[in-house]
Amino acid sequence: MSEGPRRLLFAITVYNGRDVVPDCLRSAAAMAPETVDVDVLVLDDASPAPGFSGEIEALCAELKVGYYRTPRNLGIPRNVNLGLLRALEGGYDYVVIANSDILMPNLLCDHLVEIADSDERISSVTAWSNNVSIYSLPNGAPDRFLADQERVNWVSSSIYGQFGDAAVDVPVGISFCILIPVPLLRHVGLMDPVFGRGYCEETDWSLRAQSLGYRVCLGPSAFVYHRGQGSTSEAGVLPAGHTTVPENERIIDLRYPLFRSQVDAFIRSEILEVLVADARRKLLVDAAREWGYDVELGWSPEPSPEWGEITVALEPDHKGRPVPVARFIGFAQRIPVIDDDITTSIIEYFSRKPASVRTVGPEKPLHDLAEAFASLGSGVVHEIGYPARV
Amino acid sequence: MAEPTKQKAAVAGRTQRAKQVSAAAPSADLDREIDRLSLAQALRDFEVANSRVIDLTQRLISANERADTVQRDLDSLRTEHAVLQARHHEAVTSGAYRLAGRLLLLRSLVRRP
Repeated sequence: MSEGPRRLLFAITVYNGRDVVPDCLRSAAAMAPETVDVDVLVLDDASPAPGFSGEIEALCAELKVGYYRTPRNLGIPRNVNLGLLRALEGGYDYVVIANSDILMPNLLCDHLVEIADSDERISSVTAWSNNVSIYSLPNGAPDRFLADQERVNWVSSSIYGQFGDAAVDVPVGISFCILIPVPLLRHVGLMDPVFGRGYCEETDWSLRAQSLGYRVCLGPSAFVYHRGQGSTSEAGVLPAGHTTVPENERIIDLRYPLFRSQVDAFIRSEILEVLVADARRKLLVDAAREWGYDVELGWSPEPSPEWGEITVALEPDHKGRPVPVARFIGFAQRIPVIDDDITTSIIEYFSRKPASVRTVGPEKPLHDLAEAFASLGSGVVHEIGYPARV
Repeated sequence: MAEPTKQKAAVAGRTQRAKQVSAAAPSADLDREIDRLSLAQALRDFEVANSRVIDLTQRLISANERADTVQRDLDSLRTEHAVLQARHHEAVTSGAYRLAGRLLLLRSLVRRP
């Protein structure tokens, strides 16, 4: 690594996408890194949409980020390689390759670098997201709840508090937003242009890095919003009904016959379940600490709380018993009930009492629960409703 | 997972100097530099692609030769098989074979208690 502040090239690959790219570029320009110097470079792969490249170039000039348009379409792997080569030639310490349909938190680069720095054997750190292949942090309605800079900052900050510089080993990296320490490119090489217009090139790169003894990691504390398939579906890279390119998968199967079984083993390892559960809990508890939470007692329709609203509602489990489920901007988690004591379990989960308790319907068990909350000092509102079930 | 204390120390240890992100280089310089990188890499990619085509062509020729050999062997065995089948058919349809069959049947009937 070079002396002085470390330098990071943030390369955003663009191919059309008028509805997503401007937001992505504004988000990139709004990043406020604290520990690294970040240069943003937009690599427009000769987007054919009329007027689009001119608009993006003007926006880049306005936002003071770099812009380059290839004279002809290269395809994703070779466009990515331009970013990697520019990072190598420009003497950068790190390079981030990012899709143009993401919103990034303002400290994304700091978090990614911190994770990469935790072990010199790390070849790449893939950011976490609502949409990152098998590693996704599921969200009920990400485009509604997460496509917003302030929310991405908040979610990222909360999750960072849970995972810090933890680097989770994964079978392969995903180049929707991936950090690579630049010196390592001299060992591992570039993306293989055999993958044509794209898909699977980062799988090949990751497996190449692993075969050289490097780790391929997911950075759970670096959360970005990812709309997904923003430009590749438009460009017709993906065949109808596919989420990847079958021909490229055949190349991976040929080169790495054990890859699929490694992915299966990772999925069965339950690492992801633990990550997702920890992240959801942290988000819900942090949100409740900031805005408080409300309890709704009654078999009401599934609530869909807005930003700043955290609700706990009762849902039947597979035996029909009520289980409290906490919700916040599309993230949901069942609260484990200890000793059949729903009231205490909810309060212990959040480490605080609810701001309000609302009962809907005439059922006695619900009113008993409400009384339990009331006895602990929570305000309870009874609303007239219908019987829960037909 | 990172320990909370470690996280706090890491955050506190940072130099709190929020920066603006910037462009990779002035626009004209950037264009020239990436054009140069792109051209150099395109030439390398061409060489690699060319080598791969030559390699694949050689492997295709080898595979074709192997397929030809296997096909020749198969044709030869098919011919041999057809000759043997014809000889077998000739034997089982001969008068001697039919007579032997009848004698065997007769013998088994005579020996039956």
